[in-house]
Amino acid sequence: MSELVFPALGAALLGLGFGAVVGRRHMLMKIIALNVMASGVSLLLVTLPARVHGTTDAVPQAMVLTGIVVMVAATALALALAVRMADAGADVDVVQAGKEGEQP
Amino acid sequence: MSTAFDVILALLVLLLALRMLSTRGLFQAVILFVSFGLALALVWVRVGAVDVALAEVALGAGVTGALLVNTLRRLETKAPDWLDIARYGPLRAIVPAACGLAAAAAGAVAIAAPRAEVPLAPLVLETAAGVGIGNPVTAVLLDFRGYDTLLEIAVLLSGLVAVWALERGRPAVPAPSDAAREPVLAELVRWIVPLAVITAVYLTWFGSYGPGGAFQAGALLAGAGVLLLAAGFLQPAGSSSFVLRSVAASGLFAFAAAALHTTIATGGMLRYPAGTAYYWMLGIEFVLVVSIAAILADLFVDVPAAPRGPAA
Amino acid sequence: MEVLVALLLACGGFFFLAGTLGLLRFPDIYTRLHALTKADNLGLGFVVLALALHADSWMVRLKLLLVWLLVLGATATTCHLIARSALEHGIGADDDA
Repeated sequence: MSELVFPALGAALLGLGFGAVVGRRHMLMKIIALNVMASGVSLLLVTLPARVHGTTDAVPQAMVLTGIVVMVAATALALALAVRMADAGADVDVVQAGKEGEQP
Repeated sequence: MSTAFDVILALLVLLLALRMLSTRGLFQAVILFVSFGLALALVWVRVGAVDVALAEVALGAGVTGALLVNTLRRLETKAPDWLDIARYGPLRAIVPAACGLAAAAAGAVAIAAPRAEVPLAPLVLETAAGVGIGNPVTAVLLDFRGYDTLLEIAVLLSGLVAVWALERGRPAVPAPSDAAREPVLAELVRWIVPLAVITAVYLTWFGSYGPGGAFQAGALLAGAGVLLLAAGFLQPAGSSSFVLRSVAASGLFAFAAAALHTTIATGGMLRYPAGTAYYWMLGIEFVLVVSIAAILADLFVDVPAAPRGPAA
Repeated sequence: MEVLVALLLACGGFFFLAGTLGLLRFPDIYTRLHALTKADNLGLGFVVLALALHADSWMVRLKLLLVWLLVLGATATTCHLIARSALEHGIGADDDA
C-alpha cells in the first residue's frame, strides 16, 4: 500500500493539470498546467514499476528523461507562439480571444 | 517511518501544484513552478531515479522556469492579466469534473496495472553490466534505445528552428557595451562559468558510471550560457549565425553519422561493435553536450543584459 | 554524534524559519531581502555542517562546502540585483511591494 503514495501523487497531478488546462484562461497558465500534467505522467511511469517489481526500473527512467527534454522543447515553442500571438494583437485571454473571433 | 516521509513529501508537491494552478498572480505561479520542480526532484531521489532528479532540476525547474520568467517579461507589455476560472455557469462544473475524471482514470490504471511476464528491469541491469556501463539509464538512453535519443535531439533542434521562425521580424535587443556591464553579476559569472564548464564535462563523463549524462550537463552549460548573455559577456547571436547553426546541429549530425556507420558496419542501427560501446557512447555524448547547450541557450530570446544603472 | 547532527539540523531549520518569518512580516522589499538572504544562508551553513559531520568521506564534505559557497555567491548576487532593480523602479523604503 505504501508504494501507492507516489503513483497516487502522479494521478493527482495529472488530474489537477488537466483541470487547470481546461479551466484557466491565461495562455501561460495553460502551458504551466501542461507541464504539471507531464510531471504527473512521469511520476506514474517511474513509480508504478516499483510496485510491481520492487526495484528501480531503468527503462521508464530513460523514457521520462527523454520526456522532460521534449517537454522543454515543446514549452519553449508554446511560449514563443504565445508571445507572437500577443504581438499580433490577440488577447492572451483565450475566452476573450474566442469572443473576438465570433464578431463578423 | 519512511512511508510517513513519503506522504509528507507527496503532500508538499501536491500543495505546491494546487497553489500554483489556482493563484491569480502569474509571477507567483512561475516561482511556485520552480519550487514545484525542486520538490518533485526530491521525490525522484526518494524513488531512486537520480538521473531523472538531475534532469528535473536542470531542465524542468531551471530551463523551463527561466523560459517562463523570460516570456512573462516579454508579455507584460502586451496583454492584461486575465486569470479567472471560467465564469459561465455550466462550465464551472466541468473543471472539477475534469480533474476528478483524469485523476480517477490514472488511479485505476495504477491499481489495475498487470504484471509483465518477462520483467524488463533485471534484463536491462544484466545487459548494461555486460556492456561495461555502470549506469543502466545511460545504457538504455544511448545504447539499447539510442534511436529514441536520436529522435529526441531532432525534436530539440526542430523546436529551436521553430522558435527562430517565430522570432523573425522582431526588433533585436542591443547588447550593452563593455563599460556598461553590471559589476556584481559580472564578477559572479567570472567565477561560475568556468566551474560550470568543469562540472558539465565531469557530469558527462560520470554519466557512464553513475547519475549524470549528456542532457543534464547540457542544461548546466546552457544555464552558464544564459548567465553570460545576462551579464553582457556574450552578444546574442542571431539565427543567421553560421557558427551557431553548426554547433546546434552538430549533435544531431554526429548521432546520425554514428547511426549510419553502425548500420553499415554491424548491420544494425546504433548497434555498436562488441567492446566499443563505451567509447561510442562517450564520443556521442560529448558532442551532444555542446549541441544541447547551444540549442537550450538559444531558446532564450531577447535576454536583456543587465546594464549598469544610474545608481552605480 | 547523531545528537550533534540533529541539533545542527534543528538550528538550520530555525534559521530558515526565521528568514521566512522576516519575509512575511517586514514592511518593504529591502528589509525582506536582508532578512531572507542572511538567515537562509546561515541556515544552509548549519545544514551543510550537520551533513558534513554525518558524511563518510572528505570528498563528500568538500562537495558540500562547495555547494554552500556557490549558494552564498548566487544568493548575494541575486539579492543585489533585485535590490538594484527595485531602486531603479523607484520603490522606496516602507513601500509594500
